[in-house]
Amino acid sequence: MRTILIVDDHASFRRQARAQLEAGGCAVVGEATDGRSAIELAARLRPGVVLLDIGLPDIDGFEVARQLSAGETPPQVILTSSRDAASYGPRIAQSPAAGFIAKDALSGPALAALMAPAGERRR
Amino acid sequence: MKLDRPRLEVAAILLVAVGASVLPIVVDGWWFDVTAPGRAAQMPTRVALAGSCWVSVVAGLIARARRPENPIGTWLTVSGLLGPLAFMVGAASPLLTIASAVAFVAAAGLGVATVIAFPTGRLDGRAPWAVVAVAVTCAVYRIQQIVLADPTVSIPGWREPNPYRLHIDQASIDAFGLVYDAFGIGFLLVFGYWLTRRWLRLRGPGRRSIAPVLAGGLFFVVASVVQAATEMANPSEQILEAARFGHTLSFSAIPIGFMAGVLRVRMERYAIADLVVELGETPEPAELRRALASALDDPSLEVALWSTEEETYLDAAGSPIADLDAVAGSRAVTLLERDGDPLAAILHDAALLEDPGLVASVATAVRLTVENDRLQDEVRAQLAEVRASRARIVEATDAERRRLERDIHDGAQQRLVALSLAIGRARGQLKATADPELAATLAQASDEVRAALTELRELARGIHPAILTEAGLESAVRSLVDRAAVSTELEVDLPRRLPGPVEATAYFVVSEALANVGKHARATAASVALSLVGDSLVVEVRDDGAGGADPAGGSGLRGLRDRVEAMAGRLEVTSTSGSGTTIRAVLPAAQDAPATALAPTAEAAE
Repeated sequence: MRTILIVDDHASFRRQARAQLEAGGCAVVGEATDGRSAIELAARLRPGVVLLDIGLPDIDGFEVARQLSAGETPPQVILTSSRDAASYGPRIAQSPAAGFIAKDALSGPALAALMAPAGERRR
Repeated sequence: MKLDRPRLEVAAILLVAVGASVLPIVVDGWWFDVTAPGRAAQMPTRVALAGSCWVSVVAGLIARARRPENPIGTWLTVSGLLGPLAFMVGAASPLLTIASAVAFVAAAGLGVATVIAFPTGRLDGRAPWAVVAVAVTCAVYRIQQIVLADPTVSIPGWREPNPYRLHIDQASIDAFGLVYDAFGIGFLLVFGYWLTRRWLRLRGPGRRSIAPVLAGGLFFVVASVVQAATEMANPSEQILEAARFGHTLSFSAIPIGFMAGVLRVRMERYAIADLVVELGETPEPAELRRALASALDDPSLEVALWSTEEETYLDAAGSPIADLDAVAGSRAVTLLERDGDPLAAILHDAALLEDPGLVASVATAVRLTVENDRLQDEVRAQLAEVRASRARIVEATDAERRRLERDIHDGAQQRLVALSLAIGRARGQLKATADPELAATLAQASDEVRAALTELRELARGIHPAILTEAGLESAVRSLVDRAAVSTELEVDLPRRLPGPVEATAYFVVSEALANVGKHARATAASVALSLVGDSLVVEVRDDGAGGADPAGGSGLRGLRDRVEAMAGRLEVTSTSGSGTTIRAVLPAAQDAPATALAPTAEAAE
């Protein structure tokens, strides 16, 4: 079963995302509200996937993704935002994240579709 | 024309001068036999005397008109009026003779005093008084000629015997003559020495007006010496008369010198009037000083400008002057004011004060220049303030739009996202119960929410494109180009990020230009180029459409131009009918430019 860490500063989104993902057969192992706690929790919980909001109150999602990917056993990072991917130009493609999903398009299957096969990194 | 007092005075003086010139002729006709041998030969000298006297009267009148408080004008006028009378020595009438003697002494004294006291009209110190005293003594002594001489012998055409003649022996007469010659030579030596010394010591701003007067005096001395030498040589009567003629002409040298001085000073004033033009718009204090010093021929001149902020005068280096008089030293200080407020002070050679007109001209020149400078400074400051406030308004508007976009993103957008997810979950849960009607309603709700989210995103992008702050100008413009209505090429050469307001302005230029291409141009292709040339961002959008865009017309281009100009840039629209449109904006984009409110670092928090 995929283990997921949800990182977002909006409680309503975390709640909906958890329900959506759990309904889709994922195990949400934790929630973080900002970049720093996301990095801490990821190190402790070692989730398989981190659903990472780009607009965080402290460090932005791109930087969190970079730091998460620099670890020894990096989780797969899926960036998310309520804006569309176009709003970030080439930055999503340039980041080590496995993919991007718009918040309103979030679902277990949509998430699963973005995942690369285990052990293979997007970049 | 109303006859005021000065005019009446001038008229009266000229009338007296005419009378004075005619007097000798009338008197001559009375006791001279014009037909006597040698008389005709004397006529040029007579005419020269009348002419010299006239020149003196006119010069005196000019001097009085220029500076009524200076006595030199009066001296020149009076000596000119007395001249004809002064040379009627030995007249038959006792009264005329006495009058002539007095006139001669007075004319000689005044004539010499004019030169010595020029241009102040004051005899300061012992030396000037001594020179005048020698001249007067010499003139007084000349009376002995009247008393001793026998004009029937010495002056051709003299009919009457000298009624005052002293009947003394010839040896005594010769002795008197020697003493007179000694006095005459002594006077010429003293006067000549004094003039030469003054000439050699001349410097400073008064030089141009004083030198011609001194030259006139020296010419008089030289002519006198020549005449005396000629008389001693005992030449023919013809040569003697020529020497007398020259000597008499030389009387006019001093008033002519005076008028030449006036003319030179007048030209100097023109030079100062030109100064205003020469100084141009905003002279540096040093430049002002240099121009004034050169115009007034006064190397010691300094200009101190009044500082309204520091409430003191500033020297050329811009340092405050605590005590103007102490700095001035022996120089005179002329203060310039505007409406009672100090404007500037000129420290100059005190000799300049002798010509108040000159100082007034300089004052006017400096006042005009300094006032002009002040006004320009004010206008410049106001313009700078207006420009700055215009830029601030644009930046504030940008900041407000960014805030609005963020509020939408953080507020309504998040709620709609959550709602969308909740509906999605509800639809997932529904599958179990399989109520088709409810499922359809939920599907409808889901579509509505997605549509609302899409519209909201478009709205937010229109208010402020998040990509500009998130990914920079290049990516933002690339997304515009990708969405453009016609196939558009993009060329970007930006080695660095630019200040936020500059990127935003450039983005809006491209956005508006591409929107126009889509709407009006009937174009098939377009190109966008962004490049950093020096410290300026050059934005160029071209299309191959119909052209004819009017930069003054449409509110879009107008607003764009306002915005570009608010950023101190310029916008050019080249659009000829049939050959497409080029919109080119040049925006100053120095790295240290202020107001980087749009910089991405400030936007990390969403």
